[in-house]
Amino acid sequence: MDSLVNLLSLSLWGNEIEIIEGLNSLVNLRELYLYKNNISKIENLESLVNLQIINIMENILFNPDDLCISDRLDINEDEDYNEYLYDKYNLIKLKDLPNLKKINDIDDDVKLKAFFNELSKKQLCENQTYQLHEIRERELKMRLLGIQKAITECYKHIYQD
Amino acid sequence: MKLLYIIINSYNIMSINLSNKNLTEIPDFSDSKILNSYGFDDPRKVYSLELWNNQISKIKNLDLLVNLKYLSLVEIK
Repeated sequence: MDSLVNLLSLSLWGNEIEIIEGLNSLVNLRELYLYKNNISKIENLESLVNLQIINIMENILFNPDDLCISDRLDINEDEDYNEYLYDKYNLIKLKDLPNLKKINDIDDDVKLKAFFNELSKKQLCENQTYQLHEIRERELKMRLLGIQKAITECYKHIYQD
Repeated sequence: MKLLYIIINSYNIMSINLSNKNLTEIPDFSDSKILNSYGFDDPRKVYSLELWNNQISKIKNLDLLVNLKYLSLVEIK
């Protein structure tokens, strides 16, 4: 990835990554999504000085029982609480990143894509066919009502069908 | 006129979605035939590349995408 110096957003989630490496040249990177991997240590992020958002949920790093806590990580809200979380999750390496604003944030577009990705898999598994206009209608509905609420509704429809 | 051409070309940026293609490796963007098959002629114009749900085990062939801003290599294992 040495030539990708202009990269702003990198999504590598849902793989089997064990070590964070090879990102040194991404000096302009603002968003890094690494959740659902096998990462056990936060390292080699020193050069990502423009990083604003990092997501490292659902790795070996975190105890699954603590995910609800880690989901609330936000270094702008409560400094004492964040100190506690930095210690608890060994996030000390992240403290040196000068522009980091959010940890474990997932933007709505990523949630949306992930949802439709899961939906697509489900269709393949259950041999169901959804008409394109239905999908678009639901996507529009999701955007209007809010991603999380609409996802729940869609799942209800799926299970009813 | 030349300046106008340069300005128009500079805005002619592209997003490529190669998700769910059962790819085992990232396409070689230095190959003009491959480039044309994806509907573009200059890898420098690619600003977004999505490769969700493929079978890619190694990240390579991205060197020419020097203006890439958004890269998604999600669930490519």
